[in-house]
Amino acid sequence: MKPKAQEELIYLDMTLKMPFKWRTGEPMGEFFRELKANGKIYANQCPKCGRNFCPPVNVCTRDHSRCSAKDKWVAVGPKGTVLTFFISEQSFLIPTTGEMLKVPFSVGIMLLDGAPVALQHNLEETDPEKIKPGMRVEAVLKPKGERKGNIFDIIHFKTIKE
Amino acid sequence: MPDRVGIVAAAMTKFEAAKPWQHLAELVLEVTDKVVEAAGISLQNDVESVVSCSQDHWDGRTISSMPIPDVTCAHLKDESKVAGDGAYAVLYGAMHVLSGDHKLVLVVSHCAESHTDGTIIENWSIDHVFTRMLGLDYTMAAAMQARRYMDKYGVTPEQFAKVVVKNKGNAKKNPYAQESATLSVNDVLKSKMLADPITVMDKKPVSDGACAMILATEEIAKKLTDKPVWIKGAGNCYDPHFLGDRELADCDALESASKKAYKMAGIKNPVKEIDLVELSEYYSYQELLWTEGLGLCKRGEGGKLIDSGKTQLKGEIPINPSGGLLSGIPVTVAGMSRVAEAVWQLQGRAGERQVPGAKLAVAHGCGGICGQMHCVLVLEKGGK
Amino acid sequence: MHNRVAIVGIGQTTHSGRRPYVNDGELIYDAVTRALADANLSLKDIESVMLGNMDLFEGHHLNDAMLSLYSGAMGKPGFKMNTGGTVGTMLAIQGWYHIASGMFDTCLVIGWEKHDEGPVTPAITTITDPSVDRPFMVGAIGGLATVSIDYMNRTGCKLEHAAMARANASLNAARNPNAHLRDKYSMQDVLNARMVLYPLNLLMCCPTSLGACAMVFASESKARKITKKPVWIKDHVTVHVEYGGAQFGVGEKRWTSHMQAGSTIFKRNHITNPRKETQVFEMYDPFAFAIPSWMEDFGICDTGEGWKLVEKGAIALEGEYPINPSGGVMCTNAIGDSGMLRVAEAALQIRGDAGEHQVTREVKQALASGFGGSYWTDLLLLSKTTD
Repeated sequence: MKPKAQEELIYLDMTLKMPFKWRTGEPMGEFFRELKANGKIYANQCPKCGRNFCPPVNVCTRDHSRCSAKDKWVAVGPKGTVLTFFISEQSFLIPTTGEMLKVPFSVGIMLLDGAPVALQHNLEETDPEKIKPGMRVEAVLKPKGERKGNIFDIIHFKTIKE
Repeated sequence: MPDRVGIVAAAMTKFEAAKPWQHLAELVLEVTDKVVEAAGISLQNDVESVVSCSQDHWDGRTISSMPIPDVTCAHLKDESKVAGDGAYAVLYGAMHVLSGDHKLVLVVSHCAESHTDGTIIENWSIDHVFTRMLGLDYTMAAAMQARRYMDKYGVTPEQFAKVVVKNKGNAKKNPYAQESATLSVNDVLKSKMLADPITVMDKKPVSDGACAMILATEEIAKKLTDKPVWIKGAGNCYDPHFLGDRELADCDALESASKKAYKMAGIKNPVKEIDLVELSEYYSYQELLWTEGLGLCKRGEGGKLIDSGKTQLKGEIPINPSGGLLSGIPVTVAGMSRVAEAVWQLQGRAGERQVPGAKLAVAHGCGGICGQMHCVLVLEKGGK
Repeated sequence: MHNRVAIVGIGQTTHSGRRPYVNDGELIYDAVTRALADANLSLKDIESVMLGNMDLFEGHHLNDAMLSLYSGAMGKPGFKMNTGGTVGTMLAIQGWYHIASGMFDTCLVIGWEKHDEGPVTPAITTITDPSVDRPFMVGAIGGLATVSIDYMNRTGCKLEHAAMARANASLNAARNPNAHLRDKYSMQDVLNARMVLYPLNLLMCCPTSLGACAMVFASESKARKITKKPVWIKDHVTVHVEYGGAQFGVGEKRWTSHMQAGSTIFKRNHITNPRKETQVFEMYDPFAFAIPSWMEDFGICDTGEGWKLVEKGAIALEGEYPINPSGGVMCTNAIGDSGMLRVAEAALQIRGDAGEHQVTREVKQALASGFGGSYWTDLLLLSKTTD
């Protein structure tokens, strides 16, 4: 009973819209509060094995030691070194907003100064000739009054000469 | 069962209508720490595998088990995710142990229903070609099933209400319960109607929480505790999806699952041999219907069973001495929390809700529209 | 000690980008009927049915229940597991546990995906934590692009080597009637493709395909009665890592899930020379740098040698160590099915039933891998005999 033409096919168009109010929990919530209030990026360290985490964690992912004492947190960055990156030339749907990605759009994984931790964020530079692993970058923050306590309080990482 | 799988310990969070101070991974962390302490083991050195249980839609996250290794010390370990009710995760954990692959397994499930709108998720589990567009959710489907059950067998809303009265009353003795109350049948019948005959009190409340347990080989279970709980029988089964393909007033899949579990466990007379049942009643009428599927009474006699008083806390075969799902348990965690309650009963750790001398228990989990799929586990008290 | 488990029936649908005349149930039913026919069994011989895919790719929740009519699960035991890219290999392992535990003698596992019905890249983006990473991930390729840059930086591998690997895959897929992308490409053709996510161009990213693959598993006592060519699942390992991942070795020596998986399987099975002691590897390769870089990580060769082996043609169908004679994930990628196809194709190689894309030497042992998520690895060792 195959229809003769594609136009006869019956499709069912559906858009799944699910509202969420995601929880940040204890250490991530505090990470964002510090970013908003003081423009600082924090990492913490496992007291037993010394592994560092950014954003900070409640327990070490390796040996499950408690890491929650805030006095052990260390501010990292705002400068860092590009470990690796990508540049998107193709637009895709952003699942959290339903909008299309604006291209070109580049993302780097940055080793932040101060502790062996890495953070993913936008790079200001989008020319593949101008981005290399090992390149120095610095976080550009929104002015305090505009910060909301989310990852976009950091606008992007700009290339710096060092 | 060829060899024996023991449940060494179980743990739950307190269930609450919302836990917005906890990231989903922190729910898992809380219950993992509790169960590890209860079992007296090292998370890092003793746990060989983690079987997690969560739902991508409910978490709003594809591969909703992504953060699990971080909080269960499972970096570089075996970890896998059951995408269904928690009772199935216990079954899968048991398979890990029985296969000889892993001697000690952490099984954990989590869900925070309050951070999203569950009716949308329920709607998206319903076939998209014919039914989804009608805007059906599980409460509306439950109303249809309850109505069919009433029409075929003459069960009544009063009998459904008795389940609510019993379970909310039992919950008063359960420190983990989200909601408890002293109610009358009339209180339930007079409460706000959601979809006739389902009132707001007939429906499980929205809930957040997590549950975990430690499964191990017989040898290790006996070393870790003098009260291991053996998984003696297991069965699970799917019904058809289209509601019209099913006789909604009967639960064939549950009957098949329970028969298989009882056969494995050597149970010939369920009512006489089983000491208590923890089942998953998302809606009050389901407790009556599931008692039929579990072979605790004949088909159509679930109403008579609750009328008899036998399923009360002090009755001959207490059902949901914990307060059941009606006291507030999230989906996904539900079936696993039934197993956990049954484990505590068999270990004599059920506090004020303890069924004295409990030796054999049945735990039940289900999922899908009108309980389309069921999992039944028979648990036996070990040790002295 | 567990019961031995054999693959006794294999069925797969053809794979394509769009199939508007077929719905998800029909696709699954197609694979199921083929697997049962291959095993010369009927549904009543099957004791448990497991259907797996990623919920958010087509949008459906609890679709194992929704599709129970088509999968054959109606009236039978079964449950759903899904773990991202590793769904297919995870299903094979789930089937293994059902039988190895002694609880079942036969089961049917089905992996499938119908990517033409939903937006896969946004769905994959939701694997990230909503707070820190989700805005910066672009589906699977974002993370894989960063891994590519890192691999080139660490080992001197060039874009050309990834293109060579992709070109080789295309020659294999051209011989596989069930593959999705079957056009033959040269290295230069691959380099000329349009840029998608630097450094990965369109041909260096895996496609989104649709299709289904089903396999029947049986315990040893039943397997030998069902088929003359059972393929034994000799060993398997699953390795998941912390969310932040270990791909780049930040703050420590680099040790990834692939490295852990490979070393575990080889050690347990006393394999000291994988390229001699296994004869083929169906590797889950979701991007063109996968084969050269992950050959190293699995321990098939030393660090820095992977791209050199690709350059020498060692991974070709007639080469020293064929990788992905089926064309791999680079040519066919229906995510719930991709992992299972690795196991199925490796099994076909052992049986000698891979038709035009059969490797030339006798295959006694084969490897099949699955990959996904925050770097999750499944590695299976399949064998022609039980010793």
